[in-house]
Amino acid sequence: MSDNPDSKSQLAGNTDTHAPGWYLQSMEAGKMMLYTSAVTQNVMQRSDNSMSVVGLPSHGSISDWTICIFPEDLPYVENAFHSLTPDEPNYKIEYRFRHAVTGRRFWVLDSGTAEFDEDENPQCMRGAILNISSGVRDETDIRDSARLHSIAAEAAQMGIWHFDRLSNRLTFSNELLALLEIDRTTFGNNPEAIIRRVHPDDLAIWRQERKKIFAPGGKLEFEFRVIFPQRNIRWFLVRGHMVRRPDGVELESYGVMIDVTERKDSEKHQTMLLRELSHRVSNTLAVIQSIMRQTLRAKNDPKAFAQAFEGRINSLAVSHTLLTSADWQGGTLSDLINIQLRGIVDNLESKIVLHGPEIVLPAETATQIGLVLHELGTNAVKYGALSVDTGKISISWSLLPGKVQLVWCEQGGPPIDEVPSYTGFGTSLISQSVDSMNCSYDHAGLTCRMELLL
Amino acid sequence: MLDGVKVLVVEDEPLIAMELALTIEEAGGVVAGSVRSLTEAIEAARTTDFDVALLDVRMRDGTTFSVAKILSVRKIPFLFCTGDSEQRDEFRDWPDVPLVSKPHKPENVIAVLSKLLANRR
Repeated sequence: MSDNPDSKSQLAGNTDTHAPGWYLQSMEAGKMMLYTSAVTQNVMQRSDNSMSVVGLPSHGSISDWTICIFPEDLPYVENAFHSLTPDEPNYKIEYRFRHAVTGRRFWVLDSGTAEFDEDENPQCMRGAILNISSGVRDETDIRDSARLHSIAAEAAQMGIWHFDRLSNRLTFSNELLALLEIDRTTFGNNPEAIIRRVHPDDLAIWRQERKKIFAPGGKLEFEFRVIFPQRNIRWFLVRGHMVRRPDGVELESYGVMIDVTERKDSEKHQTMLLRELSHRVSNTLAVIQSIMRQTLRAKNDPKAFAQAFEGRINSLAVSHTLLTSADWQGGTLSDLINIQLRGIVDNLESKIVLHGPEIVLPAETATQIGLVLHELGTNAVKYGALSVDTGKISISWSLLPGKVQLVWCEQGGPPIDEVPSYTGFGTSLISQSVDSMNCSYDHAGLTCRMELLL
Repeated sequence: MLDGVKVLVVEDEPLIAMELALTIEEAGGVVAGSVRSLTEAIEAARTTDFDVALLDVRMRDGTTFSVAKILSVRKIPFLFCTGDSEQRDEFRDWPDVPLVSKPHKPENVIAVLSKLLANRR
């Protein structure tokens, strides 16, 4: 038994419950405050440590207590007290509180008993206040945190699952059930509910990957498809984690499921585009090689070769530019004509007349016709209507079912004594590219009629 | 090298088809037909008279594996012309068919065609 009540060093480690200050010290350590309130007199008496626990003096009022309760929680608190009866006088409620001095916010557990008079009016409350916020979370709102997580999970289309290893209980969050369109009352938290929905082709992956969480340091991460009641299929990503005790005993696992259907669709689309691109590149290289070889067959002189080759490659390039600007959906015939002839002919507008409806040519056809136009234009400049100032070309076309009829008509060019024989690349390309080709010469000049299948 | 051998060319890109035709002709072969669509190719595979065929795998209107089947039945040898995009497993039904990749080397094409004809004899 201690004789010195003021010595803290004596109290430290003192297990004597009769020692003065023993109660207060323990309450202080446990962040607990005791109180009694007289309801009608608006009086609240608190234990001596009330200043440090809640920032209020030990002699005070119910009002100065109420002011420190979070306004959002006040209705809940008042309701709890008003629903007390002599038969059920005990209460245990949690609400948010603001320390009257420091302003720090924390959750309190308020538990106690109400005492009533003969008319069953509450007279007195007697109980204990416990600060249940953990140290780190003093400033944060645990309830709010859970609510925020729920909102975020819904926004992210993310479901949360939790598996308690000790009780073998699996829990699905509301968002997870909503994502999978599983009714909680029908399937509850039964893993069978998901297994039934897994795409048959993914069942093997599902079974195999699930086991990984049990390996030491095991993490879960895999994707699988779920079939919905309406027969539509969606992709889900599962991620999970196992929590263990330091001795390795499995405590719980938890994780998320995220709907990644859009990402998978987009990946599939991208793969398709890349294959398409690869194919086009191979083809383009083969075309360039072909142009090179055939130009070489016709032009022995390096300079002549270079000029002809460069002209044809440029024709490909400008066709590509036109197509790129339309995202490779195609190019209009009039744009193609303009872009092909612009590089070859000066004062294009004064020499060329175009006439025809707007037609969009598919990408491959546009490139081929581009080369044909390049050839016709180059020949016109070298030998035909565009080799003299007076020459003009009229290009007209009309749209028929599944094809375009195009007429290239040169006029005012040099007189033609004998029909020139253009052999080699130009004409053979032309005849190969278009589906029927008809060239004739009259006193006016060359006229080419061709059909392009769309 | 290809002395009078009749070749069917199945290729939808006109310039590449032209180049193949010239390659074949320069080697002494004859272009029995040059078709640019899958439908034309199927028709030609059934009815045209030729000794060997060159099949571009990926045409604009589909793959030419159906043409390959017709040629197998007729016991006419052929090769596949492929770009980069074809996956290995697409050819799993055709393990013995030679592949020539685009852009092709003329010498390579002639060599493969010659070998196909030699094996047949």
